[in-house]
Amino acid sequence: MENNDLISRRQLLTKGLKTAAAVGLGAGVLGAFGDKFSVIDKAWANFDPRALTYQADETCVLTCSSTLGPCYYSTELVRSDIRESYAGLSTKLIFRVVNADTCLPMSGVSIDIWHTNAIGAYSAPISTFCNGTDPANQAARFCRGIQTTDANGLATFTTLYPGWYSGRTIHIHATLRIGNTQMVTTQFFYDDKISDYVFANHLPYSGRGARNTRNNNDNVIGGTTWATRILPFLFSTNVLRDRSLVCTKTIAIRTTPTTCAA
Amino acid sequence: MSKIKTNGTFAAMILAIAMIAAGSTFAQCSFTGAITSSDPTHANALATSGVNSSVADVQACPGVFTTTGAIHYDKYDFSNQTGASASYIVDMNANGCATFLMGSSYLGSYDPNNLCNAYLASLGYGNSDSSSYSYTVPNGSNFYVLVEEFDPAALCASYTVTVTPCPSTAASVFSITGRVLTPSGQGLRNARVILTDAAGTQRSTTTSSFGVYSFSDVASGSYTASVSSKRYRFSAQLLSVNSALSNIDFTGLE
Repeated sequence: MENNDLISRRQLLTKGLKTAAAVGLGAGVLGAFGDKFSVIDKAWANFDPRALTYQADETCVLTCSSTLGPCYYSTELVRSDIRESYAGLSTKLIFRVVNADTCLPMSGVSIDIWHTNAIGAYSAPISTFCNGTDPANQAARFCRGIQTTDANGLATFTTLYPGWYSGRTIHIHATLRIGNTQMVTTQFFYDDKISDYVFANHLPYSGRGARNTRNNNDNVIGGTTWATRILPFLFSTNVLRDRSLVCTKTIAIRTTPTTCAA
Repeated sequence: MSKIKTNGTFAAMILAIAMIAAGSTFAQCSFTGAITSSDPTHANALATSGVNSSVADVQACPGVFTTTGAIHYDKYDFSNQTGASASYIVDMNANGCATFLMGSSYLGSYDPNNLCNAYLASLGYGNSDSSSYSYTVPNGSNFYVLVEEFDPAALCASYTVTVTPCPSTAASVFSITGRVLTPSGQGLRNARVILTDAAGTQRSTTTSSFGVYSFSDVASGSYTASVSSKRYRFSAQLLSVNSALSNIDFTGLE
């Protein structure tokens, strides 16, 4: 069963990427959605993260770790825009890092993120589990990048909404460092209603068929108590008129690596 | 529509006053509602500025975005009857919606055909969970809180909108006051001021010794105000009444 999933996923990735490359270049990422989504609201480029009200759960509770997974690749790519012209729904991720003891913003914390492109493939020369055998995936570095928090504890990425792959819900990986010290490695999730909305309304997501894994049956965050366990890892998501998304998440760490109590 | 007011009763108002006096938090009015296909609609929608309006960061109308279909909305009518200018916070919760909600507020009137008319404040984006914006309302003014689907026909099964502090419900009648003056600026007594509504129905009043007149309990709507005097001619004025009007003065023509 697992093998079948993997094989079908590899085939899908290989096929999907060609489509993505054809659609994603030239017209610009936002222009690739067809008429319905072609109007670009300039506000998105100027989005002011101070405008957002953070969720009550996004206070200063220590962010717990989660599995690194097999798809990490040390890119050392310091960049905010990690789309590399690939097709997909533009999504701004705004992280705020705070001190779990004082609740104050922490500057100088590097956030290294990685996730799939719109058709569910990771980039970089890693396990074929992560991106099939397409050499284009392995040569690319899309959806990977590093940013360092500013004086307000904020770090922003411009990326694509991740596409699904079999067996996992939609997620973003992140590892945080202060200098060379790894503080926490974890994963963040989207409300399933956001993924449903994106996958129903936007190319290339809408052409890929139904995903088989949601938050409740994900092998990392799923299970009987998923609805409460997911809250500290859930993005708060907003939409602008050009359909692009703005997602915020507060991450709380200590000044030395600390493991959450089980 | 199906809006349910969950508090904001007279008792809550008394409590609110007591809490304000004690320097404590303000009382809130929470409304649970749904956006349904039978709700009123308007064409197009407010653009998204990316910045929520706030008392400290007042936003101009972000402009109108052309939508592919009509937008369903709920409207809540309030009035600032506190006796002074007051600031209100609107919290919107879209957790019970399948997608996103948009929120905006208007001062004095709301015209679904002109979304920037009387614009007061709004969210800077469609929100999928919870978000808030704030603004200041002059004393005695009506204001209108709009809760809308973000995309045409997206609807919303259940939302909550909370206004803090709890405002009065909108006044439906208003006063109109002013003076009738001679060409030299003196108050003209015993002049007859006539108010004519859109249906042609008239009511009138007579100025006092200083030329002062007033109408009370005027229902919102469009009116023509004119003055009848044996000594002077006066230009009529068109009035759009959706809040108390003062200084509606008439000066005689020779």
